[in-house]
Amino acid sequence: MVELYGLIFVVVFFGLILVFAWLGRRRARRYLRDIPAFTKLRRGIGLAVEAGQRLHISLGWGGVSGLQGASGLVGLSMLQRIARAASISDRPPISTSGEPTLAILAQDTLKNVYHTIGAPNQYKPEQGQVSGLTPLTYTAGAIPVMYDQQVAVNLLAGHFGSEVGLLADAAERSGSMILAGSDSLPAQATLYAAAQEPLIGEELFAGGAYIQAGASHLASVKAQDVMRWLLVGVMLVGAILKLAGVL
Amino acid sequence: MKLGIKTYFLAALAIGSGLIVLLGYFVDFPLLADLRATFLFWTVVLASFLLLVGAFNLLRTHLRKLKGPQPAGIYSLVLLLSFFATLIALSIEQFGLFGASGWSLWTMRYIVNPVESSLMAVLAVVLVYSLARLLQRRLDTFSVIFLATTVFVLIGAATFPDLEIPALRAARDWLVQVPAVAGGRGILLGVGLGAVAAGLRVLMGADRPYGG
Repeated sequence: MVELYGLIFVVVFFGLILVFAWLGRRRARRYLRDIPAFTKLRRGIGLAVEAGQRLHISLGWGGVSGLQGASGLVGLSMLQRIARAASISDRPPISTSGEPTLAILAQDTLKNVYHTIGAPNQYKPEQGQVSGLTPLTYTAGAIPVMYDQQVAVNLLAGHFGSEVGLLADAAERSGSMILAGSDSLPAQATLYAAAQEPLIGEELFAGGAYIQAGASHLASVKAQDVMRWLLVGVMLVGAILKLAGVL
Repeated sequence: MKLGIKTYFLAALAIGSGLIVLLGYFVDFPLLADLRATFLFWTVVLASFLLLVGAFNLLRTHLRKLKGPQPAGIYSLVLLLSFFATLIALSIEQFGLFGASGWSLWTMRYIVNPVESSLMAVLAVVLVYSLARLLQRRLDTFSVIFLATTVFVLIGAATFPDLEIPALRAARDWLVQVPAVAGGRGILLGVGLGAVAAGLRVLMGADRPYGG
């Protein structure tokens, strides 16, 4: 029975994304609330390109499978959009990750971006690095990238633990901007205190919609809102029924 | 944007295998369950191989750093030397040469663990420093609540000799067990919805991190 509810949930969610994507093509209107982090990210990309500085996208160490893999997938979508926007820069964007699958997908993403814009020779495999294979070694390996590669903007989008505080501190010391979001609660709490622009809750998952990564991202944000209200309703009804002694 | 035949092929492969694994989880059908188990087994094998690829990626990055005019080249040299020393030591142990045993455990116990513990200690200092700077960086209601809650929970968790305040401990327990858990679950609900949406976008072929 639980499996059936799960299947219905996924099918309804899928249907909503399709409906909103179809409606979004016919009438585009402003839907998203203002999140300062993304406004600053857009501005930061422009300034970094103008100044010939680099963008650093850190994808965390969560891989692409399981719940923690979703934040890595969002990070990859954002990497693709940012790499496209910053492709004309003298210093191309660089990506670090603490998991080989993410590094290979990051390399593939960057390679495709350069192929799409007609500059395949600009792609270098070093742009998608594994900086370490455990959470702390990954952090230790990503810190020198912030210091040595003339990074202007750091975007941390993926699965991290509380060690992400070291990355936020390094970014601040190197004088670069840091925007960071994660699916993990310890990382979110750490980033709230340590990062200039933290992304709390599901804000990271809306990142693609804010940086115009595609119509499906905006559609999925709308679908998430509908599903959230649906879940809130179900929980409230469940609580009332429980109080009334029906359940 | 024009998509090539390779993109369509990769997307079909990803969507097809993704749907099989997803349906195999929800629908009780033997063929689907077998296919799902096979795909997951392949994933495990590939993930193990990718660990090796990751190690080579790490080596290549640091070899390039060593060749270039990077200021942190000395760290790359240390990493490369440590990598090869560990590889040689573990190979000797694995093949039982020179009666070697326990080298891998020694490496973990006396090199890796102390270094990682030191980093955690640095992290503790960094977090205190960040908390102190929070109000300077972002002075708003939520920052004040965040700081006050952190300080209160820390005080509530501390043990003072000859000083036990039951009300303080009870308030701290309530704070940790009720509002914090409720907030955490609310955030996780949003994260869960975001994760499902991200997975569905890959299943739709709208996000193609595998290329195209």
